[in-house]
Amino acid sequence: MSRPHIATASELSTLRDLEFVARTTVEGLRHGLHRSPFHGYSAEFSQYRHYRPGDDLRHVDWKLFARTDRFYTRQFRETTNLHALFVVDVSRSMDYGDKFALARRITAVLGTLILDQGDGVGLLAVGDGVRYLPARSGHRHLSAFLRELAFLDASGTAPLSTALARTLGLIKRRGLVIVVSDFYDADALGTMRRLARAGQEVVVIHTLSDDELELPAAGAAEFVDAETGRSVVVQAEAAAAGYESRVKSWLQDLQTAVRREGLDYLRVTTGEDLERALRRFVVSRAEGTTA
Amino acid sequence: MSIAFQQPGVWWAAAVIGLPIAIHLLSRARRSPIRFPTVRFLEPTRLSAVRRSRIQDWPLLVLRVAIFLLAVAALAGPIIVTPLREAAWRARVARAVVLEDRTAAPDDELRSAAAGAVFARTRLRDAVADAVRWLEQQSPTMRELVVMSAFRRGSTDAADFAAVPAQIGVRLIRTGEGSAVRTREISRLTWRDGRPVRTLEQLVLTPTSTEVRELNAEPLDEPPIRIVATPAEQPAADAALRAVLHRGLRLPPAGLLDRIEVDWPGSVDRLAEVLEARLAASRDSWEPETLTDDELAAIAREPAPEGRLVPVDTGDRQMAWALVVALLIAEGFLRRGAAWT
Repeated sequence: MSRPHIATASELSTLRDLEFVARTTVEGLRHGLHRSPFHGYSAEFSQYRHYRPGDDLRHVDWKLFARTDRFYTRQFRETTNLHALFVVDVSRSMDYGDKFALARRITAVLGTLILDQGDGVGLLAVGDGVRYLPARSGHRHLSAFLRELAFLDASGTAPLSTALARTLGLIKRRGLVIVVSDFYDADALGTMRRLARAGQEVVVIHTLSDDELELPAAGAAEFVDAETGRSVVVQAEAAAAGYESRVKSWLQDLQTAVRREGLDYLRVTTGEDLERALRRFVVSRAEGTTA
Repeated sequence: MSIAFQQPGVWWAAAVIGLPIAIHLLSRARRSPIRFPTVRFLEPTRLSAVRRSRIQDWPLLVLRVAIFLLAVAALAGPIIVTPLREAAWRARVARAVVLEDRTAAPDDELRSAAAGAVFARTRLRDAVADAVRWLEQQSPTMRELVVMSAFRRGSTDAADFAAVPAQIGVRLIRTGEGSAVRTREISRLTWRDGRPVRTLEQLVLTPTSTEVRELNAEPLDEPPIRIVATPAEQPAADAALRAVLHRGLRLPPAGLLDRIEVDWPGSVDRLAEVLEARLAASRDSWEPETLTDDELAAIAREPAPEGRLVPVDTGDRQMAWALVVALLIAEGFLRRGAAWT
């Protein structure tokens, strides 16, 4: 079976100069870029606190004592590595034009970036069956990750919320969950909320085809729902305005709801410059983290 | 029961015109549905025009197809062939009547028998030729040529009917006095260049003139007339015969009368009278004034039925158009009903 093309090597390394960092604290096993929930005396300075008896005298800031005549102990933030799980929507609605290819490219590029910075990536897709690649780090894992990604096809009947519900059971540590979907499953937001409350940082990547924003047909046309099979006959010109207004309203509601939950949201359409969109998103996350 | 068409080519024309239309409509109909991620944001457009992208109203479609086919059939001239009609068509005879003399009105029975196209020309044989041409243009059915004439010799003969196609029947009805215009051919014995010559002359007779044309001249070794005389009178008798022949003597056609023998009457004038009397006595047998019944019977024949049957439109075309109009009205009602559903 020939695997579909996902992305070229240059596309995969397009964000190499950036770092995809977790906004919240994550639990890792190794030293890394991301904030650990555990404070200690590691490499990165975090804050001062008043000396308490029993503190290691090596961490007392003597210069500050000289200036203020008080004892302060330097506290350091523990940093750790990140485990990111990509949850890719493989329901039939994703199989439209280049939409699924776009979802795969986003997953591949971000996954490569995360692996390149020493963190771990995993993959979960629930269609008619379950495809799960546990998160691991290392460049050897990249090929397994890309191979797993290549085997995915958008022909599943299970909604995205099923995959997200499985994620709750699969992830043991706090990490990053990147959901790539068109989000037509209305239950998905509730499941993402549960993930966020369970301590996961959820990143919502909303992929859409340009046709979904503007009706593709002209004249009389029959549209068949890819997931339900329901058929609607419309006069495209007459229906376009109402359709676009409803889509815009839905997108706005979805974005507002996602942001209200404190989740990061990125919308990418097939006609957009993917590198530019991802770069802006990654940089904004990095800035948000440092801010 | 079957249906025949007077202009079956119309179906081809309809196909030529209908094919691009059908391709256009079918390509519209084949326009496949668009598989779309979700239709939750689409509201169905309630327009009947939209529904045309997929055939939903089969009764309307069937009705329209029927209207189109009926209209083409009406243009093609439909004829419903039933056994009864077929028998009537087979019994139909196209009849051309040639009248030699328009003033010689045939009696009622003859009028009835001769009901058909009438041809009358100054020369009977021209009228026969016209009638044959007309009959050949008639639709294939039984054809009959009816000639009403006195059949005076010279006005017509068997040669005029030889060119009539075999399947055309010929009926000859003797009537009237015959035309004053006729052509006669006569045989004459004459003396030229010191020897007897049999000539064939054509006389074209009209009410005002007689034209004579010599068609043939056959020199003879000796005249077919022998004058029985004593040896002493024989030279005078031969000289008298040459004198009579110089003036010319009408003879029966070659082969009908081989030789005439007369006694020497004593003078040239007497000899001429005797010879005229002898030939006149038998002239009716070799040169009758009219064609004999036997000659007419040899020409006459029954019409032969045609192998191919061509039906005759008896109002089926009008019926088809009436049906088209009725279906159009029904289609209007159906369409109006469909527009509100």
